[in-house]
Amino acid sequence: MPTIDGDAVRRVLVACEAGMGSSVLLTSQLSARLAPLGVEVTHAAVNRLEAGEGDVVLCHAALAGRARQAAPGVVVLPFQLFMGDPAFDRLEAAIRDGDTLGG
Amino acid sequence: MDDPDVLPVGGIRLGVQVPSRDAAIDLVGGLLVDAGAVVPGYVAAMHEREAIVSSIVGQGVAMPHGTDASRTLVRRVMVAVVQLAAAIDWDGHPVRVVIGLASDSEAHLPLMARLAEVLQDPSRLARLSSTEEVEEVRQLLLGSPDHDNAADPAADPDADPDAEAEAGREPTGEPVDVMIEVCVGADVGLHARPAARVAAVAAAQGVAVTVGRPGGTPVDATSMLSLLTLGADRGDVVEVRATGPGARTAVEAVAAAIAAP
Repeated sequence: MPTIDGDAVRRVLVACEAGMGSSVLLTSQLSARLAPLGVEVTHAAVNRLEAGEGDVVLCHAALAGRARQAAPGVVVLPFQLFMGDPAFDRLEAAIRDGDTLGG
Repeated sequence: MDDPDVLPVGGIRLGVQVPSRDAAIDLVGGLLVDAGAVVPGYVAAMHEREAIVSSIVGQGVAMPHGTDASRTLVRRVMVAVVQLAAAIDWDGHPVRVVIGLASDSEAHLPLMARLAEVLQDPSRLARLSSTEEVEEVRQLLLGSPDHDNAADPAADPDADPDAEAEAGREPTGEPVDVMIEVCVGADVGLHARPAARVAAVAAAQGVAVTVGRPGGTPVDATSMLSLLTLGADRGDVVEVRATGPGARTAVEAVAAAIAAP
């Protein structure tokens, strides 16, 4: 399982099925939280993920398998809810505190 | 202001009755088709996308759209909005506002950024869910975000009259009314143990919380017997309300207890 230290995260990639809806919405919300920590948030369709585009990939749990295939070696953090999922708090805390993320 | 054609007047329907999630997708997809933004096959792709991952966003909003492959069926970027007269069950979550997307570019991103803000602002979200004015929907989703973020509209001399009128409808210092619609999560409905659990959570809050059927008389959430009189079964929508400081936290806690399986 790939891991990354929170203080090494500079780019978070939010992936969804089509890259037009949920990932865009989530990118807007997370950018506001992570920009102050010096982290850029972008979005993409899960099938068009490319290794090296993001240090961490966030995607819905149902798409996590496809994300891991598309970007092997990149930490994939799955979530269930687009609003208020604890995964977002964990990511923010890990980036702030430099904790290790794995997935 | 963003290009208003992204959210045309003809793509907005307010106070609509639909029986189900699939019917809502057909309706919002039909608006995209009628406006010529997509070819008819796109609606099937919206259902296909829904089957992969639910498009529920939360806060009473779902955002159906096509699959990655169906981008070729999109003729131009468009957003359609269907506001429902009553909440429907959307994969276990109550939904009042259905936002249909068709996009093959980034032209809808400003609108999505606005939507992300509205979702985190209870007063604007309540207006999106209940307004009877098509123009208000366009103002909420197309207007410049800066105007709404200004704590004092007078501080922004360029604020347009709409933004000021909007701020005037949110007087500060008024009691904060919070209402969340939630689907009952327990298999047995809001009975027996689940009702006792909800009552216990409600009793632990610092403010009075009520639970009611939409349009029905709300009951005291700390009273298990009162909760039983609602006769709410699994999947039924109930409204959780509180007023005053701490209302949001209390309503969220009680709503979570009601939604728990």
